[in-house]
Amino acid sequence: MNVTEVGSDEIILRRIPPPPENAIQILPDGGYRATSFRLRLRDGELGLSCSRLALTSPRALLDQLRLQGTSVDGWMVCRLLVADVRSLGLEVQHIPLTNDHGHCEIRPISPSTLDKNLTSKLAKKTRILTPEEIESVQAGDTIP
Amino acid sequence: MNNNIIETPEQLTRTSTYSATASGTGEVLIAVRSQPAAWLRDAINRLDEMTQLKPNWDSYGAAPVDGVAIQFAYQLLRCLSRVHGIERPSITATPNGQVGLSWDDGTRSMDLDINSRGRIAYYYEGRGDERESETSNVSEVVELLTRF
Repeated sequence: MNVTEVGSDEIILRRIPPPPENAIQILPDGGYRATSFRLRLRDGELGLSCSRLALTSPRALLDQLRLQGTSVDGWMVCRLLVADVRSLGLEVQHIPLTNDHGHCEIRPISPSTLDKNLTSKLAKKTRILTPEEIESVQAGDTIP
Repeated sequence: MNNNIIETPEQLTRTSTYSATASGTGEVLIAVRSQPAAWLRDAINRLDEMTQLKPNWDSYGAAPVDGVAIQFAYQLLRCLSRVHGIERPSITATPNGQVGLSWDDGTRSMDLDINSRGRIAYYYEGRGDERESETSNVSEVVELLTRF
């Protein structure tokens, strides 16, 4: 497996902080999605940090918090399909980190930042994983 | 015809209990409450909570929320709570230390950021209309929000 290429059929994950900063939106099916605020870049940040489910499980993504000395209580994980990211003209680059081999970044091809319209559209493509999914889904699994 | 009936939160609070205007191509009717909506108290509490956020609160390096941005958000919420038809927004911090407000009724959505200079950067999407802009004119925001 060439880990530098991220397939369009892959799922990528991002941590969502606990309430009240989770800023999630209820979906018609009763599930939840992230809002654009959780997908924004900081000033000077080149890409939005995520992790490839092919290499990092939702549980492992949350366990990274412990390395930062943060409790995992209340934290959530949202998922995105890489094809959905690319359909917005964005790219997903695999940038492994010492503590997360599956780390990747969503990056604009151009211009130099993620505009609000892009993050808003991206947010509508997300889904918050259920607590059961966080515990049961393994790296390499697929999830809807 | 001047459609900027609400230039600033201060002006709004001086507005009479009911105001109406037309904005050229389409009617924009804005009714102003004599008292703020009940959700304002909860929204202010939410802003107060935000002052407690520590650096890296999102685990991806987010900045704590700027106190000046919170003050501007307080003014804006006070203003919006006086307009009939505007519901309580979701209120959250942004990674850059700004205050974010969002509304989404399933057919229309609006996200706006308030920064420490009192500027409002917003993105509105609904029924074929899409706008992204930055303003300090509250009436521009009110006009979009009263479409919900």
